[in-house]
Amino acid sequence: MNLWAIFLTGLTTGGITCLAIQGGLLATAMTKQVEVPLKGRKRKGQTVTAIQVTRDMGPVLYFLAAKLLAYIVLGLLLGALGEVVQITPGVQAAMQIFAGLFLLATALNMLNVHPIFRYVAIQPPRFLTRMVRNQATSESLFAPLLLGAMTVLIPCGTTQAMMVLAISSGSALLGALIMGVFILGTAPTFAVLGFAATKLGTGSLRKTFATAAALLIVVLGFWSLDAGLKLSGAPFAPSRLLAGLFAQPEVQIAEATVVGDRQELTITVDDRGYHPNIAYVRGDLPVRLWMETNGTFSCARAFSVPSLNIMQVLPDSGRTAVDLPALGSGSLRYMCSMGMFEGVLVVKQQEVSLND
Amino acid sequence: MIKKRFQVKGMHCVGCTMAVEGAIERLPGVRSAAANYAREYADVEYDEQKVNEAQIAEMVALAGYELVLPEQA
Repeated sequence: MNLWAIFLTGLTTGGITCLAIQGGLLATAMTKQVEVPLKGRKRKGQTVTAIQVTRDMGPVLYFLAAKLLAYIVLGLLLGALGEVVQITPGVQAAMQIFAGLFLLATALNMLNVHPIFRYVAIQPPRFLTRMVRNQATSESLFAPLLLGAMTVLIPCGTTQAMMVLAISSGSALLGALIMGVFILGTAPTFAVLGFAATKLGTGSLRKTFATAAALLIVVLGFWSLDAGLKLSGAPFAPSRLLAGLFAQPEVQIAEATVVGDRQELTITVDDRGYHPNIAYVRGDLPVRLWMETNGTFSCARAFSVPSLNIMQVLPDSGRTAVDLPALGSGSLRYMCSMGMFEGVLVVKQQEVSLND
Repeated sequence: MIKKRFQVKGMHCVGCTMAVEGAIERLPGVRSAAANYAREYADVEYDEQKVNEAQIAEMVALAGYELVLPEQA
């Protein structure tokens, strides 16, 4: 398990995608938490001091610490769960579709489209909010703590991929390590944005920020929904409909080689997907896919064949065999567990196969 | 001691409910306040002899939100 690679994933992709989902919502919430106590104490003519800036950084740090702790606990549970069950592409698809709908509803709430969307916001239990108010001095700190811990409820796409990794590790300790290291990686991006959010105030700038975040969430919501639909094999996934209208930007075609009583095909897995993404195979022989990774950190590593219920997390560097039965006829789609990258095996008519 | 439900405008996140509740409960005579973000209201239990609706609305306004009094609704 390459923990350094996981940290880097958090620092780059994870930091940005998680920020779009959680940062937008939670930084907005934090803005208010910082403002309310300040309003109460502010005296006429008082200006912002260095002490105040330091104090404003407090909520961000509390938020991040709680988030880290919550995800370590989550990793611990997922790792333990991995010892018992495996997440199938079907479950993954359901998770993605749910996440997509949740994101869209969240964005619609942020944009004040209809009061019904206010119900997607999860309100902390009464006893917790009471605890906050009973500790007047920690009023601006306890809420970010809670919100930080609550980010486990809205994991972004990359986080979900890490959650799958944690489950597939099949060990509570490894699961906790994976999630902990990943969240540590996302922390710098969150710290910068969180602090910026506390400085945005309640004026038009904050409104613009919230709108921009909401629009970004709409995009991610559709993305997640699309990935879920693709994973579930739905032919009406938006990206498939679009692909029908526009040519695929990068198509690489190959053909499997017959080796003894099976055929073999090498697929290179990098951060941009699977190469080749179209391969011809014979329908009467089982297929061994050799999945080659070399410093691959994207979700393409979470290789899945939904129709065969296959889900395998590939090492960041190495060569992994994935065995498929004889396909008969038709085609078989393979993709990453997020549905972002995909490819297809097409059964070729035997008389035109080059290997005969 | 009576319990009344008021409409509260301007809560744009669940964190706001804590701010609204905190503001109302700072008033002497208020026993409890429970705000609901999704349905945009606050249930307030208070002693009419010690505090009135206008004072509650003023406290909420200070926190940056708007409590709608029955005559305004």
